[in-house]
Amino acid sequence: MIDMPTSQEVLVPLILTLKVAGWATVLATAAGIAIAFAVARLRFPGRELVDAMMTLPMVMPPTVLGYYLLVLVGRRGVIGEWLYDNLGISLVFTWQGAVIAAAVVAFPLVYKGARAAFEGVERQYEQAARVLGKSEFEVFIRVTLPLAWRGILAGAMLAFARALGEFGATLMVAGSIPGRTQTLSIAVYEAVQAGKDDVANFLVVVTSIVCISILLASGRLLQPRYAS
Amino acid sequence: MRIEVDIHKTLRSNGRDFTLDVKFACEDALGVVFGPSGAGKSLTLRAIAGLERPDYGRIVVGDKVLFDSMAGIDVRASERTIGYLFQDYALFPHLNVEENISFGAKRWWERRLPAEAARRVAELVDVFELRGLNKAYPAQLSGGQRQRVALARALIQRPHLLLLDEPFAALDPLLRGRMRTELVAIRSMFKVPMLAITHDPEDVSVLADTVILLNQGKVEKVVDVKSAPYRDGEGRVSEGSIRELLTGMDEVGPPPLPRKTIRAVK
Repeated sequence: MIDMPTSQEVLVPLILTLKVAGWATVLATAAGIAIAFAVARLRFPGRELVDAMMTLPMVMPPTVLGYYLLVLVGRRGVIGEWLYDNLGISLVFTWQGAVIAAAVVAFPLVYKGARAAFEGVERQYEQAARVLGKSEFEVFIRVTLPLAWRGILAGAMLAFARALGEFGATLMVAGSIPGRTQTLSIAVYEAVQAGKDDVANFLVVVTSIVCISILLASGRLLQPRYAS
Repeated sequence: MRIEVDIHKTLRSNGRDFTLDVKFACEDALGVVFGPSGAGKSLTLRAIAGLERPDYGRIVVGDKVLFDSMAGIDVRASERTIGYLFQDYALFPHLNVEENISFGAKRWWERRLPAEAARRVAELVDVFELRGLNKAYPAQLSGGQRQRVALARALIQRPHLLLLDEPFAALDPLLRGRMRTELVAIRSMFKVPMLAITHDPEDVSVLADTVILLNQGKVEKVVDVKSAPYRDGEGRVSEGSIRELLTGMDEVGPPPLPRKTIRAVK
């Protein structure tokens, strides 16, 4: 008889993964929109350098990113030390640390999507809004953002999918504590290592279904709209 | 109303320099800037609207100084209260007809239009014969309907001046005549001064009291066409004399591009 995996083995990592990936996507999307808008619309020296820096997490090995993050937010890290001394916060080996790791790794996907979306918004619509008496803020939230929204959302969904599968950087920063920082992809690794093939099979199928659904949905979002 | 324009701007693109050096004043409520493509008409219009910043100069509309490089004045486009009809109308594709028209009258935090603005939108929908199209999106409209929506959208903020960028170029020839007549009617109904740019002589005879002839970035002539020989005794436009005035102008091409080959020989 096959032993069904217990909820402790499947449900707990699944919920934790969705929580981590969800928060990571929120952070990455907020930062992605702001930076992509600046790069797409403002002319400043070093613009292309900023663009390259923002894309870096996509090509760097996640373990290297994780190491950098430890240097930054670890107990003795530049930011981490300040956080611990002043606020008593330690991100290492917590689910919040996993969120930071996943957000950094997933960020380029939202950023790239948002930049392309902003660049695809015709300037004339923004100018029309300005001539109609609208401030730059109002032009952004009533014209630029709604016209770029689908592209940004498609990027955010890819980022979510990427965050779901994050392994390397998360392991470096948050470790693999069952029920606290052990996300799906790490749980799969641990299950295989421990020879629990039935648990691994189940986790793999669940992960695959979630990822495929997201890809299909983001593909639909990128289809052209407003065509005449 | 008086429009005073005296602007200078040098543009550099692909190694080609274009210098706009435009100076004219227009007292009439109907002005037309006429010239071949590449003469700097659009640039002039955009500068008046505040969408382009001249290198130096001065722009006055009515009693309001909108730009004066000497005095350091550069009123933002959003604060000029000037209507602008874009050549292809630039209707917001994500908003329906009603939302497009009310765009200028609604603030971002308001979920619904203030009653006064809503009345005005309804009025404009009526005037521009857009009833039944309130919920239609720009992509679903014909060329003439798009132009009407764009005009209504521009007029809702009661502009001091309406700028028209090649107002009929995007329409098919059959529709053009009808929309010209419509525009003249709109103009007398709303009493808004208009300044249009065009390279179509027909637009001049319908829309102009004053013609500003522009070529290669410079004003060649400013002609008052309100009286003889351009109007007959009853005030009708004499097409012949307008054509004569514009002869040659519409055939002048843009300034020749500097040849890369010539530079290579040097």
